[in-house]
Amino acid sequence: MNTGRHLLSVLVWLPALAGLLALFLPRQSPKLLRAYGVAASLFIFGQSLQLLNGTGEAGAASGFRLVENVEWIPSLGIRYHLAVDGISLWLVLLTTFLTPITLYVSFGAIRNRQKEFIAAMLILEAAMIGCFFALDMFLFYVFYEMTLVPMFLIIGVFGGKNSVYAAVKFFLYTFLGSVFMLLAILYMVMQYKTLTGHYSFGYLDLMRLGFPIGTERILFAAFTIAFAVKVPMWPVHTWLPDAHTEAPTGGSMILAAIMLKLGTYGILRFSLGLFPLAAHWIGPTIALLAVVGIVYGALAAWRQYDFKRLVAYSSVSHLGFVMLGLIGRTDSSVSGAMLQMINHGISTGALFLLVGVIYDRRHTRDVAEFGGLAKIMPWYATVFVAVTMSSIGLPGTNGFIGEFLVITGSFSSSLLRWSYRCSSGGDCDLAQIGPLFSLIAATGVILGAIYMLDVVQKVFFGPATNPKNDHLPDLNRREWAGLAPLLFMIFAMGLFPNYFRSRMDPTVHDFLVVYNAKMDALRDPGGARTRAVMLEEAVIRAPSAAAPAAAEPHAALPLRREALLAQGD
Amino acid sequence: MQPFYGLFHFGFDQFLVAAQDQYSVLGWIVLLPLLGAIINGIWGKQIGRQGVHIAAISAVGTSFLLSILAFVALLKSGHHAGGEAAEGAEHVRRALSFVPRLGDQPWEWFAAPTGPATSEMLKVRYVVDPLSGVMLLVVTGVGTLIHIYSAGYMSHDKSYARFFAYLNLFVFAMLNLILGDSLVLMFLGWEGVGLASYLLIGFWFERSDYAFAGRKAFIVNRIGDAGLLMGMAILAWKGGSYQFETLREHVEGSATFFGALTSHTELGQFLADALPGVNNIAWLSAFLAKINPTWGGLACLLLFVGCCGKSAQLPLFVWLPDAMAGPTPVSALIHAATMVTAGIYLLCRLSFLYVHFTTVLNIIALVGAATALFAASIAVVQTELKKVLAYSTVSQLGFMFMGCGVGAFTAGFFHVFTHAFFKACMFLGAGAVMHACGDRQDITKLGGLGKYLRGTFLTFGVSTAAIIGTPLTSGFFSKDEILWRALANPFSPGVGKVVYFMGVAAALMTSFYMCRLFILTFLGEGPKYLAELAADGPAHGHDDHNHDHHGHDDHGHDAHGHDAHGDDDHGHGHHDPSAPPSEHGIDMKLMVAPLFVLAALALLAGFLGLPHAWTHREGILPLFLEGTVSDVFEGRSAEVIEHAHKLEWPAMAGGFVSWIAGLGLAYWVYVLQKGEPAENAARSASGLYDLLVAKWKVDELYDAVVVRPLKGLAAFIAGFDKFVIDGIVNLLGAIAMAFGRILKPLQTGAIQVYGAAIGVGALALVAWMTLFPNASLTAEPSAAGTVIEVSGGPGYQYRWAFYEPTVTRGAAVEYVCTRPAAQTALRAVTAAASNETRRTETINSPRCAVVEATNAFGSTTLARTLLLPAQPR
Repeated sequence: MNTGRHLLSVLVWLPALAGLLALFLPRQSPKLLRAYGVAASLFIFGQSLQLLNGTGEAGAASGFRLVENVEWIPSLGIRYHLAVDGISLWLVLLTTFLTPITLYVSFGAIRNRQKEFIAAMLILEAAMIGCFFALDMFLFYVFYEMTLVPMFLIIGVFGGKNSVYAAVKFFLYTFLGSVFMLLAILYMVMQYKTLTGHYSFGYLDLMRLGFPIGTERILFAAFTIAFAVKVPMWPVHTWLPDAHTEAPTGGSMILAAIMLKLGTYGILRFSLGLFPLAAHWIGPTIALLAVVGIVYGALAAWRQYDFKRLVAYSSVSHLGFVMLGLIGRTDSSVSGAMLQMINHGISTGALFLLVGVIYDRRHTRDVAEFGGLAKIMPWYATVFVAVTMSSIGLPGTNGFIGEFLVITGSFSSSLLRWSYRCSSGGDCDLAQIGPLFSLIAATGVILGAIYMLDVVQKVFFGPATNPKNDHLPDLNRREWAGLAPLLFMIFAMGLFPNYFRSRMDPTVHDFLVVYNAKMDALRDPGGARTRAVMLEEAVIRAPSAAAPAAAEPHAALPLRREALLAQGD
Repeated sequence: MQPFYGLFHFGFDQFLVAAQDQYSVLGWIVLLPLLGAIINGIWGKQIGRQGVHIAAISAVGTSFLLSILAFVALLKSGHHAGGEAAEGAEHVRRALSFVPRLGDQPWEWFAAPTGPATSEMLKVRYVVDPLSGVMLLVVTGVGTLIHIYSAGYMSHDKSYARFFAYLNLFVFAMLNLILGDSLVLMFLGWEGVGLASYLLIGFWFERSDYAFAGRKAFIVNRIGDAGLLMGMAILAWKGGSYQFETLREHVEGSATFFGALTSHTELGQFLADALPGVNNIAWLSAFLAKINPTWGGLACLLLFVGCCGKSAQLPLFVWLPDAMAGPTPVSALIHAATMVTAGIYLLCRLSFLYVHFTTVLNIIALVGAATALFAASIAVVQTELKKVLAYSTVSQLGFMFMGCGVGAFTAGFFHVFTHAFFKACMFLGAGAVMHACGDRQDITKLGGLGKYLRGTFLTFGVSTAAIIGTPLTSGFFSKDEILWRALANPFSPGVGKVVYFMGVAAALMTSFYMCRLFILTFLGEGPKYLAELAADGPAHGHDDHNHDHHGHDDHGHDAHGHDAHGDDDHGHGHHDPSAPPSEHGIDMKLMVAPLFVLAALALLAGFLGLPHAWTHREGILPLFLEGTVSDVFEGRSAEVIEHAHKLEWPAMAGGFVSWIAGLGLAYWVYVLQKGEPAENAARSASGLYDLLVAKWKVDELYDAVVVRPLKGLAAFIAGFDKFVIDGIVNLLGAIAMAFGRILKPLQTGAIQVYGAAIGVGALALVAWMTLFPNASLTAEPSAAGTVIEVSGGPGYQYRWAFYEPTVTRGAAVEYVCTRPAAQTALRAVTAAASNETRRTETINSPRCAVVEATNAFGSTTLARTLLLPAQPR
């Protein structure tokens, strides 16, 4: 199918339509349902591969491509604005890649209400893709909240015995976080209206706003709290272990692999993109929380007896790496963080799938119930060890590249400096403290090996003592079909990371150029700025992104340049 | 994904010479073992035992043959620096390299940062130069021999294919380690061999303690690897590269990078700035001022931490003795001959850097000497064959680090070279003994095996002679070189002397314990276990090794009883346990043949490095490595070097004395007195003896100081998370619930009520939107002029006006469209409201536009915007 100029809309709305359509299929023919779910999601994956067209060559556009930008609610300046760039590209592909796998393997365990499950998964896919594409804050917010409902249902309806508690906790936690974000968005839109005389929810418009430093910090906090909950950063992570333990295998996979990335994506795109000075000011603190999360998550994971809780805490640790890379704000560290997001999606997705394999057979996730499985299920053990190696960042697997880039990138970051010694919002020519964080992060490399090998030991090695395990069958065809693509990606990304990086690095580079330019433009050492200002259009345009971006309708507003309207008259 | 065809082009014309990065033989050397691993890993069951070992051995064997070819090509590739004639002339750096290609592009792995804004593209690039060339021959050569041996040793094991898959995987990783052209590619091999080691130590994973030993090895190595990572990060940041050759150029040829690495102010300033309060702690800042650290020194030290992990030095040596849980060929290949020498290999690779940091060198020398002595003291009292050899390996690795630490990297590497042969030979000999004696390795139960196992006896004897430094054997030459260079240390003579005497003491102990091992195993009466078996009756047989299968907890286990492994999987196929051991049978023949090759090399390899004192010229190997491996003597005056050469004979005397004294002592104790003095000594100093048997209780120490506190912390965190952090969350939830209860009456559950609420809400929304109109103005340039558009709502009427903006002159000129001015302008407009939503105006100077929007209810609102002249594109 040639989706032409509306590829992004197709990718957003096709899964949603497919999901709704699933509700009208006959419940009596589960085979048809399953085939439908897998075929639909595979078709969407195939369509999404078109996003790669024209990327990767030298001189390929680093800015937003495939833009769809039309009015939606004109009186409020809300537009239907979708676009893809190197940052969102891989997250979308990760989503479309994992959804068919997740659906397919889930049919092993989910026997009832398959129809609803398929619908929820596909609608969830649509909402997540929408989040990554949306360049209108209102549209983003709608998609962002839309993800909560299907996930709430997946956990609450298809989950374990304590699933309602977990689902409500998940919902409230992330919803309450995002309420502040909504307020912040509205405040920004109001400010925009005051300055220009009209409303806009456009990301690229709001990006031009510069606030007094105090206001910027509050807005930054509102956005960042919402996303930090989603990531989840220490100490707002406790919803994650509960949600994971109660969610069905497929829910855990999607939750860990993609939904958490909405948080890290949001931090990069919005928290850093919109509020560079505040991010710079609080940067070391975020880095500190990130490395605390790395160590804390790893140590907590070590002492878990529930397999899924263990993997959940390992996510807290891994996402600490992502956060450290993002806040390091060098090309390499952000690129490493981006890769680490994808890696974590693949490795942790695979880990949850693997946990699901024995859960389906034994209906327990208690690590102590197992032992010596390597003899009983040798292929299962082999795959598990391979995924473990990816998770602990063995070179040659995907995990290494991300961790390495985050550690070395944040090590030499010139932006991480103790802010308490700097004048407010001003320059500070003090030592880079990246090495300190990177040193703590490197201990995460050790701790990762400790907790993962500990569980490998407990489950697979030693004598097979529990007679209940004696006749467990090895991986079946369905499980292999789910694991094989993940294993392929683990090694493909470990050995050929350049294929992926060459399609994201230019965007990351330009993003940071804009970040720095905006920070320079807004620098306000004495704290003299008392009201919001509009920045030059040129400030938020990276040099290399200027040419293609000018074709957008929104970019073609030179008349507003330097427009400053009086406030409150 | 890029097409994979053309990953390796293979042309026969490339055998001996090739352009830069085109020497594809290297690619095959690396790839073949991986192919072997994949074949055996996936289809091992299908191809049968014969297929398994044919695949594995031919993979590594072909790799070895190609390595010889590569080595010859290397020799031919550049002109030899040529003895004394080369003085003053630049060293010719001989190297052949290969980059696999993806399609028509070289395989670029990834770009790694070398600073906040710079990065370096790391290719998958393999380089063979004199250093890696020698190492390549050792790894593939010894590797091939051990593969052949394993076909015999593992012949009765159930997991035959898995074993060879792992072994091939190890060779693959090791080749990446030695041939990788950058720290990062080397790190791939470095961690890869760690993985192979983990898998092979825990090969018989059904024994929990074996699996624990594997995990311990991996984790202890990871501690070192974290140091290595940090060292790499510093080197890249301050030294500007990850690639060895580029780093060398930067260190030797760039004042900027060299300055950044060796500046005495940078790191101190960094610490003072980065660590809050460090300046307030008097002793700490005084200490920092005193040691005056440099970034380069710190990087070298951190890299050395990595070496300590991989090469089992104090304080990270604890994993190696436990690693003997793995099958014996693994101990020989990985834990004696190749992998554990990776640390020394790395130091030699980076010797051009290390020579500039003498403080770090001193630390390395002292750590090496202490390890040599420490491990030797443990080896003196151990009674398990493989345990003694394991501690002996740790001790010998200490010798190698001593060599590197006194700045004689070539000497250290020479010992790597000779040690690979004699230690591999001894481990394999030990394996042959175990195979022949029903997996027994307690030397107090053996004895007299010389009569039964002639080949093993002979080759083990030669290797023992080599390790204890018998004159003219290889061990003599390499150990002597290290001791001499310690005594002649040109930058820290004091440290050099201390290290020298520690080395002599360790050599003496080595001589003693190795002779003890040899005597107890091969000479005298015996084997004693046969007599015991006869006394107990035949029924006892093969099971008696379960007696020391003790309980264990997660850690701190000493891995006792490695003389035993699961009968189920690894029977050595002895039908009659009471029959005397013999070298008959195809297994034993396969096993003994490689021993002779290794023993011959152990005997003769030393002639590649004859001492200067004898020949008055450099040895062949040192000369060959010159230019690749640096030396602290480089660039020193002739007198210094001459003075050093004067010390050769005295140094050799020390080595000789330690050899003869240890040998004599062992002969007197164990042959003449039948071991009585040893028993007496153990009895009279039982405290010390017990401590030595317990390996100085280092594992217990670690358990108390590191493992338990860490576990405690983890348990605390897990509890903290559950009760405190989540407790707060649930408390907040409970408070919200309480509020919810107050509002509960509203929640009736009746759908009509909700519907009504929604309806009222919607009505309110509509009312708000209609009663309070809302409009906004946008402006876009077009060919005809600027198009100004107002967006409001259905049924709105608009009145337009234009007026001049107010100009304020602050730092910059600002145009402001104020509301009063807009109202004034509107009042002047007489035209009635219309539904005109769009106007096109030509704007030549800044102007303001205002629109008064009136909704159906007559409420109005104003929308303003500033219009600026279109700027030329």
